[in-house]
Amino acid sequence: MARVREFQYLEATSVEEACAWLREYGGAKVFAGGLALTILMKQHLFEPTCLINIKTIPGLDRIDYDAATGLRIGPLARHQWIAESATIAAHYPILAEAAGHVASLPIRRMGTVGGSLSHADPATDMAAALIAAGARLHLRSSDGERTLPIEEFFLDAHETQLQPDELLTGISVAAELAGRSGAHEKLRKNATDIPIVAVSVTVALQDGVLREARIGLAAAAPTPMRCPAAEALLRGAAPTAASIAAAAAQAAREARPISDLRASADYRRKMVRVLARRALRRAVAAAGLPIPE
Amino acid sequence: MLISLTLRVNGASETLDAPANELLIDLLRGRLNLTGTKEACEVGECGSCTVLLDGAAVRSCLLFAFDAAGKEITTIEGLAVDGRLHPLQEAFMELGAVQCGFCIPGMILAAKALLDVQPRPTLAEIKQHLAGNLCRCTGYAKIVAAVQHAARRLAAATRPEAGAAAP
Ligand SMILES: Cc1cc2nc3c(=O)[nH]c(=O)nc-3n(C[C@H](O)[C@H](O)[C@H](O)COP(=O)(O)OP(=O)(O)OC[C@H]3O[C@@H](n4cnc5c(N)ncnc54)[C@H](O)[C@@H]3O)c2cc1C
Ligand code: FES
Ligand code: FES
Repeated sequence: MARVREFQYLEATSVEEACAWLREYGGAKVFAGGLALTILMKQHLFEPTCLINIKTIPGLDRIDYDAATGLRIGPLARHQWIAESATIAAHYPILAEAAGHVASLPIRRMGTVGGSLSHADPATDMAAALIAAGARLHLRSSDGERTLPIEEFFLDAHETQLQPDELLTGISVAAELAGRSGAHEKLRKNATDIPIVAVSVTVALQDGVLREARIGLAAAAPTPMRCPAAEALLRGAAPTAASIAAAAAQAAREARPISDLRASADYRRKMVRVLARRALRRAVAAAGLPIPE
Repeated sequence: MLISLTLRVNGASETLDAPANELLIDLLRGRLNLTGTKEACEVGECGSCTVLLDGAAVRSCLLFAFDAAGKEITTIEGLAVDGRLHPLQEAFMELGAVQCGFCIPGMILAAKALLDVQPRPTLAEIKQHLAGNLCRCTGYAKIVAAVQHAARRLAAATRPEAGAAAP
């Protein structure tokens, strides 16, 4: 048996062409950085008959920010570019922080953020961070474009809203959501592993109270998830040790963790509480209101 | 399906037909006999298959050959010049940073990617750049010391001569 099963290989030169080919060639898969796909193909767990390379489409790797329209990240932006982007660090620091926590430097340079979201592993750092940042995803097929909040994109482990003929063409974050401080807390077994659990938060403070907090979790449910009830507890609250502890406990109740070889469900739930508390405290401190222990 | 590729490997241009499903590591080891590149985990975790692609460390076990088209690849065989070892290779030998040796080509290439852009790296930068390369033998301390040693030697070699007239 060949090491990797044979496939047809196509290089798309435009989004329209990639969408047309996805419809034309049943069994075709989008090929971005290729990390997740190549592992599956080497292990004969998934054997697409056709790969459509989208790295040959110009412009899909751009990171653009405009004070009026906000942030737009192309699906081919590499994790390391997000980690190193001065623009992102200035306006959406949660994204730069989380991107820097992904894997090792070579993997951050090879893997695309669009590929990591589309692969939809529950343990995806950038999914948690983009949920906390309030991102929206742009999906395109030959029929047109649709946009949805990122937390609605994930349906189950490795299952998303993406139809077989759809391409993720962009990630955007509104201008109103710029400037929020945040924190990404990740528990892992060594310096480069995927999260056992990760908690991402952003906060907006006004006159000493939390106008809004957003909380995203990775590896705490079958999909990356948002914690609406924990966020509701913080809305309008003063950021105190007590309010943060209560929200962290609520996030742990909202989590739907599973047991696997990295950790038990029970341990994961406890760690959501610990990491949510740390992340909220750090985000509030970064916004200029450190909370005494 | 065959894809016609041109790439540069250790400075030499190679034009060949690669099956679409050929991995870069198999092209390097199996067809170009560059067996210094090692494959251990096969899934991107260990760094033993590290090569430089346009100067940056990548995982050749997770890269199809077609994705290296038009690129410059450096393997461990490309470091010595005219039979003289690269200062990193010398430093690894002198400081005893090698035990079984399986991880060392990847370690040295990951370190080279750093020193090529940051000739005076901090300890934290060295650790960050080597974090994706696993070694089951040495305990890492001597590997980090060897990279620091090589960096000092390279910096000394490139320092302008004392007393040289300013232009
Ligand atoms: C060793 C290792 C360690 C890792 N550690 C971490 C970690 O610590 N944290 C973390 O979050 N992740 C981690 N990852 C996951 C890694 O970030 C992803 O595998 C990678 O970013 C996937 O991106 P890609 O471009 O390589 O995807 P590809 O393999 O190219 O694609 C993945 C899937 O998405 C589809 N796809 C890709 N792009 C699009 C698009 N634009 N539109 C529609 N479908 C698309 C493909 O068809 C495929 O199904 C790790 C991976 C490895 C190998
Ligand atoms: S063999 Fe490629 S990273 Fe381990
Ligand atoms: S020297 Fe044996 S694995 Fe590093």
